[in-house]
Amino acid sequence: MSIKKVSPDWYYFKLKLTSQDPKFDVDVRFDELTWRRWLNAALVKSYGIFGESIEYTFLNRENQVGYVRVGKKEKDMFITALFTYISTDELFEVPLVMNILQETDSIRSLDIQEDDKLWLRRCIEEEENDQECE
Amino acid sequence: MVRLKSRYILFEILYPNMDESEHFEDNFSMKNILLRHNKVTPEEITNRVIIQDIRRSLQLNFGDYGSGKASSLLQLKYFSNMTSTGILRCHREDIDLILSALMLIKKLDNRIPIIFNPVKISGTMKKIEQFAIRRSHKLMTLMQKDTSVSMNIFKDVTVDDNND
Repeated sequence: MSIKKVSPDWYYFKLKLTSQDPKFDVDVRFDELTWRRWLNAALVKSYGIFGESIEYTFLNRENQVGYVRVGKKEKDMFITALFTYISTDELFEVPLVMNILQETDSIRSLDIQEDDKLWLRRCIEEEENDQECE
Repeated sequence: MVRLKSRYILFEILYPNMDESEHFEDNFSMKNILLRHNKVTPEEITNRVIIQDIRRSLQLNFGDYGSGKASSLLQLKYFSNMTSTGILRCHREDIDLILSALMLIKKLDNRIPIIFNPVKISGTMKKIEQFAIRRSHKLMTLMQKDTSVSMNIFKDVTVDDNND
């Protein structure tokens, strides 16, 4: 007999890393390291070692838009940290900010493009496997 | 009206022996043991320097949130350079943050290696003062006793004697 959890443990974000300058954003490409450094710096600045310990996973990331999974209990800290941080010249040549395009507790309701269906299906399958306990 | 609840922390600053070349002496006296890590704090270490270091540690380890939360009522009520002992005042809810921040401070003024040793936490200034006085008296009494222990007495102990 398999039991499914009523409330999932994760919270999902669709994020956009931007310089808020449309001209600059057209040419620039952000790699995973830039994303991770930005997120880590934001979490550390707001919450120090507690922020640093927040676990997040990239479901998918393509240049400026990334889909991130965070523990449900830590979502408030994550949102606050993202909203209150602007990166310095040390990270990138221009200051970068993060826009939260979408936040949801259901992976199925993530706002995706046609190209994203493949990775999303795989993530949903993984999630369902994790939630089933025997 | 809700009263602002605060806590007082009695702390001492210890100066760990960083000099590796210094070996244990053969003769351990109680005075040497008790005063091994105690030193007079240099004059340039003022209340301002200590509170700045605590605030820096809060910012570094607990971020804007922790720093803002704990710094609101943080005060150094008393510090004596002679005894390297001080009293901090903080908000009752932030006591854990402050203690963690103290624990994470490694250097004072970015150059003097130290350990903050929180000795006692109390709800009133009076109690913490009384405790500090009692503690100093106890320390003085212990030091005045002639309880030197010679390490040489263990030199005669052989393996056979230790057969329990």
